[in-house]
Amino acid sequence: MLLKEIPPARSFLDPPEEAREELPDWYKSSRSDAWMSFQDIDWPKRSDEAWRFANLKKLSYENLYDAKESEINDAEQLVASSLSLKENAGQILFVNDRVIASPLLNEEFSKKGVIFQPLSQALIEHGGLVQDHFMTETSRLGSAKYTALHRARLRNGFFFYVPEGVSLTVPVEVFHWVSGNSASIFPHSLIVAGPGSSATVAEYVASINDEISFCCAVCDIHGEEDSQLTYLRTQNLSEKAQSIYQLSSRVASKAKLKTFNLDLGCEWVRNESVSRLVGEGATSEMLAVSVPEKSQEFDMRTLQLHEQRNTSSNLLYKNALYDDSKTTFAGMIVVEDEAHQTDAYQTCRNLLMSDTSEANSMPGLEIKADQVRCSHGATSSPVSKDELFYLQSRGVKEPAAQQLLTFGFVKEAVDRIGNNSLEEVILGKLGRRFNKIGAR
Amino acid sequence: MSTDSNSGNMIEIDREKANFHYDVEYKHDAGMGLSEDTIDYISNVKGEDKWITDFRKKALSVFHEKKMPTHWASEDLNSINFDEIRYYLSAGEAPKRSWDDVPNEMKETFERLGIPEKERKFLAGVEAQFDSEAAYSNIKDAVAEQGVIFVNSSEGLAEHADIFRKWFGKVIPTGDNKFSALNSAVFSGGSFIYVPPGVKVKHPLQAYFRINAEQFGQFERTLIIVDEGAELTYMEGCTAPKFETTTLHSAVVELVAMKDAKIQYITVQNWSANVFNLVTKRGLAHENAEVRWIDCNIGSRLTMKYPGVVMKGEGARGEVISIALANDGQHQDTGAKMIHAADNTTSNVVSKSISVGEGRSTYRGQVHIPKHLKGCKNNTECDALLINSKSRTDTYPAITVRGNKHSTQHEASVSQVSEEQIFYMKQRGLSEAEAMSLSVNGFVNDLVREFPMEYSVELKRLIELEMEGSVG
Amino acid sequence: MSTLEIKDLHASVNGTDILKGLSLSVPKGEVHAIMGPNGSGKSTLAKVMAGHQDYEVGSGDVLLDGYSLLEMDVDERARAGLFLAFQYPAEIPGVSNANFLRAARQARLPDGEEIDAVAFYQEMYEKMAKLGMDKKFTGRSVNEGFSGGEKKRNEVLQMMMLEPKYAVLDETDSGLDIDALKIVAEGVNAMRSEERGFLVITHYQRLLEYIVPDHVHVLNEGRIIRSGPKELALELEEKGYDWLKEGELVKS
Repeated sequence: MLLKEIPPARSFLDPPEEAREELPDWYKSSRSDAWMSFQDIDWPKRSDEAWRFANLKKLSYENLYDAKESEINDAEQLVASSLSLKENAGQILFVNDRVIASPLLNEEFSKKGVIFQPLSQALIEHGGLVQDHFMTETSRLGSAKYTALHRARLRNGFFFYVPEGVSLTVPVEVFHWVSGNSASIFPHSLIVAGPGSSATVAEYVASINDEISFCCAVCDIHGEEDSQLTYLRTQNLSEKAQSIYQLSSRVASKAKLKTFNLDLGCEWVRNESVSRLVGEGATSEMLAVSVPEKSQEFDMRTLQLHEQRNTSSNLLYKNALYDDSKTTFAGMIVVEDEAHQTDAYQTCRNLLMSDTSEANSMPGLEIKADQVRCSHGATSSPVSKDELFYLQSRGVKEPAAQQLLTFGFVKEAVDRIGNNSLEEVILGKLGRRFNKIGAR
Repeated sequence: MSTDSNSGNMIEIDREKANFHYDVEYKHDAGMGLSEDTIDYISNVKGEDKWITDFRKKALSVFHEKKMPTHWASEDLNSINFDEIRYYLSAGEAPKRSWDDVPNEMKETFERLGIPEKERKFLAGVEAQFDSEAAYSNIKDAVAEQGVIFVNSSEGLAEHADIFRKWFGKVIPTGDNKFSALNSAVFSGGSFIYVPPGVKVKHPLQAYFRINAEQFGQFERTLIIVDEGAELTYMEGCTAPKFETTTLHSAVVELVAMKDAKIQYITVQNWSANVFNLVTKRGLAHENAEVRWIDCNIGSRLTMKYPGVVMKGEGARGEVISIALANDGQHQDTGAKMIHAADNTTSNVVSKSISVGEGRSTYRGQVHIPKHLKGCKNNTECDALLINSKSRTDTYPAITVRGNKHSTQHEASVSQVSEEQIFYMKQRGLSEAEAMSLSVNGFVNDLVREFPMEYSVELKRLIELEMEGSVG
Repeated sequence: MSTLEIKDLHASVNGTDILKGLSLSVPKGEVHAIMGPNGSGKSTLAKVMAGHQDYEVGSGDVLLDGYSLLEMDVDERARAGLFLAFQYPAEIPGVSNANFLRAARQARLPDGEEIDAVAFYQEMYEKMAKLGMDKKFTGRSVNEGFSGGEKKRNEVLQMMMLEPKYAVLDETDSGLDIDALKIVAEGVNAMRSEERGFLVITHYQRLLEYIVPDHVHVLNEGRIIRSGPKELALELEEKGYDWLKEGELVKS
């Protein structure tokens, strides 16, 4: 019997695996170009404005290896063990960036021309369409090095394309699991909502075991004219994991985009979220909730970029911080020269639940246009004593009252998702989190 | 149009009023450029002790080592040519106690700016600096008798070294930033004030900083120490004539408020549009002390100024109230720095900026509440008003809070004077410029009230003049 | 020549024609009322006369004592003697009523002449007393946080202080309870004189019980379709506007 050959572990500082032969040439060269740029770009430094307050010591890049194919094949059990929607239009499941079960898409939608495929498949079957949208956005918030790394090393991800005028009534779901010590994954998400279409996407990232891992993800969203898209992502990797996640959206005329991000896992998280409003009447709502505990550090950078007049954006980030956790929020609203009659709002609220938690807020504005309605607010404070007293006066014990109030605090952002089944998934995850913290 | 009815004795001031200069014979001129020789020259003229010369030289090397902060600040800083600036100019005479003894050109300068008149009306003392040195310095007898010291920095160093040295460079170390280092190397003039325990100085002390010379840098150094339970209001005004060349103003102001003391520091600057105004101001507030910065920034090419308060004692309070108006070709980069270093300290920042024409205003703020403290509060509000479609405003605050016993709140907004408001006012017969000026004054009105009456009138008038010709 | 005369006025907003040949003449000393259903062009007329930028005049003219207003800027029209009491007065944060009125009065003086502050305040307080306004009003920002009634009262105070040759009252009765309405009407009536003309724009007859007009005009689809004595208002109240619209159809 021949022993199965075990390839040597490949650090992500080593040259990446070569792209599969059958992939398009443009993609192969994109990959090798990216590897060159990765080597050219400097590592982020704390003295860079884009990395102010960041604890880069927690971001390691040694001893991290491309994730290998995992032994785990029981996809159903994995899905069953995570919260997901009762009803979906399709599902794709990955472990270590490899598809572990046949991707599904409701026939009703595939007939209408909806594409929902692993990226590896879409690159071959819909090469042109993917090429038109693949990583067309520049990295603006400091992680260009990691954008290049992602592009050079990515193995898979999904491509979701909704043709003009098609509406998906229920969400599609994408699951990513990571398994194996020091495994790195590079999942790519590419979403194109055609003119006048509407759809919802939910993406979940989680660890199978309590292991060190690294997730370097990129998600690009193209909301064409009049489209309506809701995109939700939850991150629940192991407590030893690190994650860099870059979300970029391009919102065209009269299109409406809503994104929601929930962070629970990881020792160290860096999220960069950019929404470009490129057509008149475009609307973007950016929501996020995080509940860090222990020594978790969540670093969130956002940009609301108004390039055209009559556009609006509204950002709400809510963080409830426990123990020695730390958050950094750096938000920027840019209203370009000609983007008159713009509405732009940005709010970051931190609820400090312990004496050793730390919240950093950098809410920024750069306004170059006229007749703009624009404001931002940032607060950091503990649970209100008055509210606590009120609940206690009704007989609720303090820990329970704290939990109720904290839950209420983050729920404000969840409520704005505007989709009951998605809200239920999120609230379920949050409920378990608070219960776990409350039970300590 | 008129401003306020009740001020029969309104101070007449306008942009052109400050735009004049005299050809003065300077006895001492350190020449163009900056080197150790420049420092030796200044120290020699001033007859300083060796420790001061050493302090200066060390600061010069820090200045050379430090990079221009253009990774976050305006690239325009690179337009300053440090080799084409004169670092010390003086007539070589001690400041006079009587206006009659002040050399004619200088006396006329300050008379045209209305300083002696103000002194008579409502000030407890005045120091008037002309380029590098004070031409006039006087404190009313009644105030001096209370033990209040009010002299220029050289005299402070020479006569009151014990108090001066204790705090000098302690609130703002040489290496705080490139320009505090520059000031530490070549400082001249500025005020030294000491208010003894329990003395509440009723009327304000005032300093007036006048730049007369072309291609010149003014580097005054002010140190104010208000002892336990004492109170002081200090006001400064600044002007310079318009030159084609660059003028540099780079001051360092250190305030020390001992236990239960109160310091209010008021600035009304109206620099001409060729001045780089790069100023470091910080106050140290001990137990239950209060430091308030009230700041109005008009004019200059680039102003970078972020008054700060380090709240070192329990119950200390810090406040920054600022108004900035950026007109064509101007960048007002201002803000506040609030460092909480003791329990139950509170800070408040209210900033209002107006950007006119192609002007740009920027707010930068820092609020820091470190670990193991309790009961700290910060409230920050910054509002920006944009007047034309080419004007620009930015806001870059950074707030760090550690622990669950504090609360911070930051709010910022950007607005315009609406077309409906202008239409309404025009229907009542006001011209567009008058309507705009009224709206802008309305926007800053609540802050203008924080300035003493005499200054608020002047401020309103300055804003009106800046708004003229800004519409249409 | 002592008239406010509107001649065959055509005006549009965003390309939609609103006024389609409106003609009207208000001699000094008279009060004319314009009534009309919603969307007939009443408020457009007021805005066009005052010179609001959103409205485009296609043809026709508005003459104040023989001088055309249309070439003048908004503030020039105001200083020429035209006053508009707004249906929805703008709020101006930070600018006190007293300062605002002073600035408006000052704007009417020749260059170099300063307003007499003492006399100004005295006059303002007297006129406020007539309108039942508290002295504290002077320190509040113009219209900011005012109730509907307070805003309308403030409009009348401004009219009393600025003493225009012609005043256009745009739906001044809207949002007023009966007591406020009476006070406002008394203020207007006190200003009626041989030297002044009024154009009162209203949807309801109620206001005209208190400000009794010399003539009533009915505006519909951008034109005056009927003019008559004050009794016309009562008739309208009774029969509604449709009666007239039908009447017009019959006539044509």
